[in-house]
Amino acid sequence: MRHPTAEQSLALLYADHHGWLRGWLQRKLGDAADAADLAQDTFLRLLCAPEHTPERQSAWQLREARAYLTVVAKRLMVNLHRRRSLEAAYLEALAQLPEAAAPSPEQRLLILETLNELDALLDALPAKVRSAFLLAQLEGLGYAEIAARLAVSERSVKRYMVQAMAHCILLAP
Amino acid sequence: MNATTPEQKIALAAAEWHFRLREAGADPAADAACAAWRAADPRHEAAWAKAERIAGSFAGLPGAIALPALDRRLRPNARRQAVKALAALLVAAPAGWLAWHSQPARQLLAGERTASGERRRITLADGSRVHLNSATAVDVEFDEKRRVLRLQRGEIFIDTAVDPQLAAGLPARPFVVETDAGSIRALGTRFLVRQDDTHSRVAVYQGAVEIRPRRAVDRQLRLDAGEQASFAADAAGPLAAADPRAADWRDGRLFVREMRLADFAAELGRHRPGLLRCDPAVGEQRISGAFELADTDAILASLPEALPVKVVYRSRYWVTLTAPDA
Repeated sequence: MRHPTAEQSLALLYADHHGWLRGWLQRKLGDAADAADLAQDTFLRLLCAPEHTPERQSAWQLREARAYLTVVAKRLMVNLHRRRSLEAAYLEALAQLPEAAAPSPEQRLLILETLNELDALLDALPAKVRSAFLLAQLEGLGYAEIAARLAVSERSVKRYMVQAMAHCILLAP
Repeated sequence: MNATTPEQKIALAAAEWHFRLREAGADPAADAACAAWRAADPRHEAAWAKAERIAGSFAGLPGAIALPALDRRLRPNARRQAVKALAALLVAAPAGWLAWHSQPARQLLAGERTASGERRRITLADGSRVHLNSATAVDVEFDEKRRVLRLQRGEIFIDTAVDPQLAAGLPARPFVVETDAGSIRALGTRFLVRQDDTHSRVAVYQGAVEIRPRRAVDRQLRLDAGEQASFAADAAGPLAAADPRAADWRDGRLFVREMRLADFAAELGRHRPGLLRCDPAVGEQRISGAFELADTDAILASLPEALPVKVVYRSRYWVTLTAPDA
């Protein structure tokens, strides 16, 4: 077959490299279940890649298939770690709440989903920009107070606000 | 951020508009200019809508949970702590769920809350500043007529601001704290309100307040600077000298002099999650000193050096003060 379709070459990629990728992930993650999940997710990403993705347009004829797969898998690993650390911090914060103020199980899930969406948006921001933005959005603090807390000028705080919001606007679906 | 692509420029402009309108307050000229910008290009409107949606997502989150979860980079050990916290959560969860189910959902979102061990300062819409002590819940209810704080539990220190409505030529709205026991009306002032199981305690540091017990409104009591009093739903008083150290928790310190160990344990227990019990056999011992509330474990660890007591950890969240082994 000289010109396989995208689906056919994906199936070939899967057959040739799925086992190897799972092993690679397991060495990285030290967890068989996580490795199996992420290996599966990696191929799912390829399957769902937007039309304009160059690799998809070339019908997944990859020169360095394993290198490409690890790039995608690494991104998923980072996401997994981000989500795990968010969940850990979330549980910690919940445990600190007085009982009567604790949200119901349904609300916990909704809150976690919202947190995860916002966390992904904020991910690449520098720490101070992120902190300033969060203090304004979640605590309702004024610029002067945020400036004092973070030991930066009020003008910087103002700039951080715009930077963070613009960043979120660009990334938001 | 250097805007290079048109998308980036639009996102930056939308973000700028978003904050400019918030800072401006009610400003018809700014509103009109923003509306014109939004109408100029559908991409402007889309970016604007995203900013509003993002701000709305934040507004729907309870700050006490969302801030530590989203700003966890500042707390590198949060992950390690979470392993323990998870264990505690599994034990504690059912009771918490039941308690929560009996309350309307909006309470979590409407009010200001601090967790055990957390202290926080907030600025209200009128510029008044409120310090929240550990394990405190307060609802802010401001309208055209009144500025009301409902203290559900815990302790707050208030520094009232002059009502900005005065500057607009409107009559100043009264500033009132409501508790289970009744209401406290501020007369331009700095004061402390603490809600215990049956009583509210008020201490005034500047200005004056007027207390009205809920079921005995004729038993009004005026407190001037330097005075404090407890009151319940049906009685108020007597007046006593305000403890000048009572609000030290704002700086993260607890100052006690000749306090019963049982009372000290109760006080310290407000500043840490879980149970802190005191065996009656050691409860009458007296303790004095200044303690840093940031590390209640260190305070507990130092107790046996000062007093003949033993600190027994059943778990991180269950601690008992007992007599030392014979």
